[in-house]
Amino acid sequence: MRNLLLGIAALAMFATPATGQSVGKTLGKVELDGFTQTGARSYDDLVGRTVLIEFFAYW
Amino acid sequence: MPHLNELDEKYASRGLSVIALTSEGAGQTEKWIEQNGAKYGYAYDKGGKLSRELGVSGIPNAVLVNPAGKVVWQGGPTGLTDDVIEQHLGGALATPVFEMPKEASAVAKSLRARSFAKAISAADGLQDPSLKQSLEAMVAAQIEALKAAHADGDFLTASETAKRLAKEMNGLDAGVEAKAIAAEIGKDSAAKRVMKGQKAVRKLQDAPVKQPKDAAELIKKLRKIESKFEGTIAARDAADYRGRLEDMMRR
Repeated sequence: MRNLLLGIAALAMFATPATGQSVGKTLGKVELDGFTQTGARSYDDLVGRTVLIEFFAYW
Repeated sequence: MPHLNELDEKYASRGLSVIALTSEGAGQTEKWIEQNGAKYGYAYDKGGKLSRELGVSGIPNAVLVNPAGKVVWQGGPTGLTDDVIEQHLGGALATPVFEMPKEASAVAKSLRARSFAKAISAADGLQDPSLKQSLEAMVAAQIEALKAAHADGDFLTASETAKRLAKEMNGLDAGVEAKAIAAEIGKDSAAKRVMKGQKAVRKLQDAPVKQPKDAAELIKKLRKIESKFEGTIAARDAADYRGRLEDMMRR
Protein backbone atom coordinates (compact mmCIF):
# COMPACT_ATOMS: atom_id res chain seq x y z
CA MET A 1 0.00 0.00 0.00
CA ARG A 2 2.83 2.38 0.92
CA ASN A 3 4.53 1.71 -2.43
CA LEU A 4 1.27 2.34 -4.24
CA LEU A 5 0.84 5.70 -2.48
CA LEU A 6 4.45 6.64 -3.23
CA GLY A 7 3.90 5.68 -6.87
CA ILE A 8 0.79 7.87 -7.08
CA ALA A 9 2.68 10.77 -5.46
CA ALA A 10 5.54 10.39 -7.94
CA LEU A 11 3.13 10.38 -10.90
CA ALA A 12 1.35 13.47 -9.54
CA MET A 13 4.70 15.24 -9.14
CA PHE A 14 5.69 14.53 -12.73
CA ALA A 15 2.28 15.57 -14.02
CA THR A 16 2.95 19.07 -12.67
CA PRO A 17 4.06 21.40 -15.46
CA ALA A 18 7.69 22.43 -15.27
CA THR A 19 7.54 26.19 -14.96
CA GLY A 20 9.00 27.89 -17.96
CA GLN A 21 9.55 24.73 -19.96
CA SER A 22 8.98 26.48 -23.30
CA VAL A 23 10.34 29.92 -22.38
CA GLY A 24 12.54 31.17 -25.21
CA LYS A 25 10.75 29.14 -27.89
CA THR A 26 9.26 31.02 -30.82
CA LEU A 27 5.87 29.73 -31.87
CA GLY A 28 5.60 28.43 -35.40
CA LYS A 29 2.31 28.10 -37.23
CA VAL A 30 -0.42 27.80 -34.60
CA GLU A 31 -3.59 26.01 -35.68
CA LEU A 32 -6.63 26.43 -33.44
CA ASP A 33 -10.35 26.02 -34.09
CA GLY A 34 -13.62 27.48 -32.94
CA PHE A 35 -12.60 30.96 -31.76
CA THR A 36 -15.45 32.22 -29.57
CA GLN A 37 -16.14 35.48 -27.68
CA THR A 38 -13.42 37.21 -29.70
CA GLY A 39 -13.18 38.87 -33.11
CA ALA A 40 -10.13 36.69 -33.88
CA ARG A 41 -10.82 33.84 -36.26
CA SER A 42 -7.34 32.35 -36.22
CA TYR A 43 -4.12 32.76 -34.25
CA ASP A 44 -2.79 34.89 -37.15
CA ASP A 45 -5.33 37.53 -36.12
CA LEU A 46 -3.29 38.07 -32.93
CA VAL A 47 -0.24 39.26 -34.92
CA GLY A 48 1.66 42.03 -33.15
CA ARG A 49 -0.14 41.48 -29.83
CA THR A 50 1.23 40.13 -26.57
CA VAL A 51 -0.82 36.96 -26.07
CA LEU A 52 -1.75 35.29 -22.82
CA ILE A 53 -2.72 31.70 -23.52
CA GLU A 54 -4.30 29.76 -20.69
CA PHE A 55 -4.82 26.02 -21.09
CA PHE A 56 -7.91 24.86 -19.24
CA ALA A 57 -10.51 22.10 -19.05
CA TYR A 58 -14.12 22.18 -17.92
CA TRP A 59 -13.61 19.50 -15.27
CA MET B 1 -10.73 31.68 -14.20
CA PRO B 2 -12.09 35.08 -13.10
CA HIS B 3 -8.54 36.50 -13.17
CA LEU B 4 -8.60 36.25 -16.98
CA ASN B 5 -11.65 38.54 -17.14
CA GLU B 6 -9.71 41.07 -15.06
CA LEU B 7 -6.52 40.81 -17.15
CA ASP B 8 -8.47 41.05 -20.39
CA GLU B 9 -10.25 44.17 -19.21
CA LYS B 10 -7.13 45.77 -17.76
CA TYR B 11 -4.64 45.16 -20.58
CA ALA B 12 -6.57 44.71 -23.87
CA SER B 13 -6.16 48.37 -24.81
CA ARG B 14 -2.45 48.20 -24.02
CA GLY B 15 -1.75 45.28 -26.38
CA LEU B 16 -2.69 42.07 -24.54
CA SER B 17 -4.97 39.44 -26.05
CA VAL B 18 -6.23 36.73 -23.72
CA ILE B 19 -7.16 33.39 -25.20
CA ALA B 20 -8.13 30.31 -23.22
CA LEU B 21 -7.53 26.97 -24.92
CA THR B 22 -8.97 23.54 -24.31
CA SER B 23 -8.67 20.16 -25.95
CA GLU B 24 -12.08 19.13 -24.64
CA GLY B 25 -15.37 19.08 -26.58
CA ALA B 26 -17.51 22.14 -27.24
CA GLY B 27 -20.66 21.01 -25.39
CA GLN B 28 -19.22 20.79 -21.87
CA THR B 29 -16.79 23.65 -22.50
CA GLU B 30 -19.49 26.12 -23.52
CA LYS B 31 -21.55 25.14 -20.48
CA TRP B 32 -18.50 25.71 -18.24
CA ILE B 33 -17.72 29.10 -19.85
CA GLU B 34 -21.29 30.25 -19.26
CA GLN B 35 -21.48 28.94 -15.68
CA ASN B 36 -18.17 30.61 -14.77
CA GLY B 37 -18.96 33.97 -16.35
CA ALA B 38 -15.90 33.85 -18.62
CA LYS B 39 -15.97 36.84 -20.95
CA TYR B 40 -12.58 36.38 -22.63
CA GLY B 41 -11.97 34.66 -25.94
CA TYR B 42 -11.47 30.93 -26.12
CA ALA B 43 -10.67 28.37 -28.78
CA TYR B 44 -10.01 24.67 -29.25
CA ASP B 45 -6.57 23.07 -29.41
CA LYS B 46 -7.82 19.88 -31.04
CA GLY B 47 -5.74 16.87 -30.18
CA GLY B 48 -3.65 19.06 -27.85
CA LYS B 49 -1.10 19.91 -30.58
CA LEU B 50 -0.11 23.33 -29.22
CA SER B 51 -0.28 22.06 -25.65
CA ARG B 52 2.28 19.35 -26.53
CA GLU B 53 4.48 21.83 -28.41
CA LEU B 54 4.60 24.00 -25.28
CA GLY B 55 5.28 21.09 -22.94
CA VAL B 56 2.06 21.52 -20.99
CA SER B 57 1.56 18.45 -18.84
CA GLY B 58 -0.87 19.82 -16.26
CA ILE B 59 -3.68 22.35 -16.31
CA PRO B 60 -4.34 25.17 -15.80
CA ASN B 61 -1.13 26.40 -17.39
CA ALA B 62 -0.47 29.95 -18.57
CA VAL B 63 1.87 30.94 -21.39
CA LEU B 64 2.76 34.54 -22.21
CA VAL B 65 3.90 35.18 -25.79
CA ASN B 66 5.44 38.51 -26.79
CA PRO B 67 4.58 40.39 -30.01
CA ALA B 68 7.48 38.67 -31.78
CA GLY B 69 5.86 35.27 -31.07
CA LYS B 70 8.38 34.26 -28.42
CA VAL B 71 7.32 32.52 -25.20
CA VAL B 72 8.48 34.82 -22.40
CA TRP B 73 6.77 33.25 -19.38
CA GLN B 74 5.10 29.95 -18.54
CA GLY B 75 3.73 28.47 -15.37
CA GLY B 76 0.75 28.21 -13.05
CA PRO B 77 -1.66 31.12 -13.70
CA THR B 78 -1.39 32.41 -10.13
CA GLY B 79 2.34 33.00 -10.63
CA LEU B 80 1.78 35.43 -13.50
CA THR B 81 1.97 38.91 -12.02
CA ASP B 82 1.02 42.28 -13.49
CA ASP B 83 4.72 43.20 -13.48
CA VAL B 84 5.54 40.30 -15.80
CA ILE B 85 2.73 41.21 -18.19
CA GLU B 86 3.69 44.89 -18.22
CA GLN B 87 7.33 44.01 -18.97
CA HIS B 88 6.21 42.37 -22.21
CA LEU B 89 3.70 44.86 -23.58
CA GLY B 90 6.41 46.96 -25.26
CA GLY B 91 5.83 47.16 -29.01
CA ALA B 92 2.46 45.40 -28.83
CA LEU B 93 -0.25 46.71 -31.14
CA ALA B 94 -2.89 48.53 -29.13
CA THR B 95 -5.57 47.48 -31.61
CA PRO B 96 -5.74 43.87 -32.84
CA VAL B 97 -6.17 43.41 -36.60
CA PHE B 98 -9.77 42.24 -36.19
CA GLU B 99 -10.73 45.49 -34.48
CA MET B 100 -9.05 47.85 -36.92
CA PRO B 101 -11.42 50.29 -38.64
CA LYS B 102 -12.67 49.62 -42.17
CA GLU B 103 -10.35 52.26 -43.64
CA ALA B 104 -7.40 50.29 -42.22
CA SER B 105 -8.42 47.00 -43.89
CA ALA B 106 -5.32 47.08 -46.14
CA VAL B 107 -3.15 47.41 -43.01
CA ALA B 108 -4.90 44.44 -41.38
CA LYS B 109 -4.53 42.34 -44.53
CA SER B 110 -0.79 43.05 -44.76
CA LEU B 111 -0.31 42.34 -41.07
CA ARG B 112 -2.08 38.98 -41.37
CA ALA B 113 0.30 38.21 -44.26
CA ARG B 114 3.16 39.38 -42.02
CA SER B 115 4.28 41.95 -44.54
CA PHE B 116 5.19 44.81 -42.24
CA ALA B 117 6.51 47.17 -44.94
CA LYS B 118 3.20 46.98 -46.80
CA ALA B 119 1.29 47.44 -43.52
CA ILE B 120 3.25 50.60 -42.67
CA SER B 121 2.86 51.92 -46.19
CA ALA B 122 -0.93 51.35 -46.03
CA ALA B 123 -1.09 53.01 -42.60
CA ASP B 124 0.76 56.02 -44.01
CA GLY B 125 -2.31 56.97 -46.00
CA LEU B 126 -4.61 57.05 -42.98
CA GLN B 127 -5.78 60.29 -41.45
CA ASP B 128 -5.09 59.05 -37.92
CA PRO B 129 -1.28 58.67 -37.55
CA SER B 130 -1.52 56.49 -34.43
CA LEU B 131 -1.69 53.16 -36.27
CA LYS B 132 1.44 53.91 -38.28
CA GLN B 133 3.23 54.98 -35.09
CA SER B 134 2.10 51.79 -33.37
CA LEU B 135 3.38 49.65 -36.28
CA GLU B 136 6.72 51.45 -36.30
CA ALA B 137 7.04 50.95 -32.56
CA MET B 138 6.30 47.21 -33.00
CA VAL B 139 8.96 46.87 -35.71
CA ALA B 140 11.49 48.82 -33.62
CA ALA B 141 10.80 46.67 -30.53
CA GLN B 142 11.28 43.45 -32.50
CA ILE B 143 14.58 44.64 -33.97
CA GLU B 144 15.76 45.77 -30.52
CA ALA B 145 14.88 42.33 -29.12
CA LEU B 146 16.83 40.71 -31.97
CA LYS B 147 19.89 42.89 -31.30
CA ALA B 148 19.67 42.14 -27.58
CA ALA B 149 19.56 38.37 -28.23
CA HIS B 150 22.58 38.68 -30.53
CA ALA B 151 24.50 40.80 -28.02
CA ASP B 152 23.67 38.30 -25.21
CA GLY B 153 25.15 35.46 -27.25
CA ASP B 154 21.71 33.85 -27.69
CA PHE B 155 22.67 32.97 -31.24
CA LEU B 156 19.95 30.41 -31.88
CA THR B 157 17.15 32.85 -31.06
CA ALA B 158 18.97 35.63 -32.90
CA SER B 159 19.56 33.52 -36.00
CA GLU B 160 15.98 32.22 -36.21
CA THR B 161 14.50 35.66 -35.48
CA ALA B 162 16.80 37.47 -37.90
CA LYS B 163 15.86 35.14 -40.77
CA ARG B 164 12.14 35.55 -40.03
CA LEU B 165 12.32 39.34 -39.61
CA ALA B 166 14.42 39.76 -42.76
CA LYS B 167 11.46 38.27 -44.63
CA GLU B 168 8.65 39.97 -42.70
CA MET B 169 10.38 43.37 -42.72
CA ASN B 170 11.62 43.20 -46.30
CA GLY B 171 11.49 46.73 -47.72
CA LEU B 172 12.19 48.41 -44.36
CA ASP B 173 15.53 49.49 -42.87
CA ALA B 174 14.76 47.03 -40.06
CA GLY B 175 14.66 44.21 -42.63
CA VAL B 176 18.13 45.17 -43.84
CA GLU B 177 19.41 45.13 -40.24
CA ALA B 178 17.85 41.70 -39.65
CA LYS B 179 19.41 40.33 -42.83
CA ALA B 180 22.82 41.66 -41.80
CA ILE B 181 22.58 39.99 -38.38
CA ALA B 182 21.53 36.67 -39.98
CA ALA B 183 24.54 36.88 -42.34
CA GLU B 184 26.93 37.77 -39.51
CA ILE B 185 25.83 34.78 -37.42
CA GLY B 186 26.08 32.54 -40.48
CA LYS B 187 29.76 33.45 -40.84
CA ASP B 188 30.61 33.18 -37.13
CA SER B 189 32.03 29.73 -36.30
CA ALA B 190 31.90 30.36 -32.52
CA ALA B 191 28.22 31.30 -32.80
CA LYS B 192 27.55 28.13 -34.78
CA ARG B 193 29.15 26.05 -32.04
CA VAL B 194 26.96 27.72 -29.37
CA MET B 195 23.86 27.11 -31.50
CA LYS B 196 24.76 23.42 -31.62
CA GLY B 197 24.68 23.37 -27.81
CA GLN B 198 21.44 25.35 -27.69
CA LYS B 199 19.81 22.89 -30.12
CA ALA B 200 20.94 20.00 -27.92
CA VAL B 201 19.30 21.64 -24.87
CA ARG B 202 16.12 22.33 -26.83
CA LYS B 203 15.96 18.67 -27.86
CA LEU B 204 16.20 17.61 -24.21
CA GLN B 205 13.51 20.15 -23.25
CA ASP B 206 11.20 18.52 -25.77
CA ALA B 207 11.81 15.02 -24.39
CA PRO B 208 8.93 13.65 -22.30
CA VAL B 209 9.41 13.50 -18.52
CA LYS B 210 6.98 10.88 -17.29
CA GLN B 211 8.92 9.25 -14.48
CA PRO B 212 11.73 10.23 -12.07
CA LYS B 213 14.21 8.12 -14.06
CA ASP B 214 13.47 10.25 -17.18
CA ALA B 215 14.36 13.39 -15.23
CA ALA B 216 17.52 11.77 -13.83
CA GLU B 217 18.65 10.80 -17.31
CA LEU B 218 18.03 14.33 -18.63
CA ILE B 219 19.92 15.87 -15.71
CA LYS B 220 22.95 13.73 -16.57
CA LYS B 221 22.85 14.84 -20.23
CA LEU B 222 22.35 18.50 -19.26
CA ARG B 223 25.42 18.38 -17.01
CA LYS B 224 27.48 17.19 -19.98
CA ILE B 225 26.24 20.13 -22.07
CA GLU B 226 27.02 22.54 -19.22
CA SER B 227 30.57 21.28 -19.12
CA LYS B 228 31.12 21.13 -22.90
CA PHE B 229 29.69 24.61 -23.57
CA GLU B 230 30.88 26.31 -20.39
CA GLY B 231 30.62 30.11 -20.41
CA THR B 232 28.00 30.19 -23.17
CA ILE B 233 24.23 30.61 -23.22
CA ALA B 234 23.92 26.90 -24.08
CA ALA B 235 25.45 26.06 -20.68
CA ARG B 236 23.16 28.60 -18.99
CA ASP B 237 20.07 27.15 -20.69
CA ALA B 238 21.17 23.64 -19.71
CA ALA B 239 21.73 24.72 -16.10
CA ASP B 240 18.31 26.46 -15.98
CA TYR B 241 16.50 23.40 -17.21
CA ARG B 242 18.52 21.11 -14.95
CA GLY B 243 17.55 23.33 -12.00
CA ARG B 244 13.86 23.03 -12.83
CA LEU B 245 14.13 19.25 -13.16
CA GLU B 246 15.95 19.04 -9.83
CA ASP B 247 13.21 21.14 -8.18
CA MET B 248 10.65 18.75 -9.61
CA MET B 249 12.59 15.78 -8.20
CA ARG B 250 12.73 17.39 -4.75
CA ARG B 251 8.97 18.15 -4.64
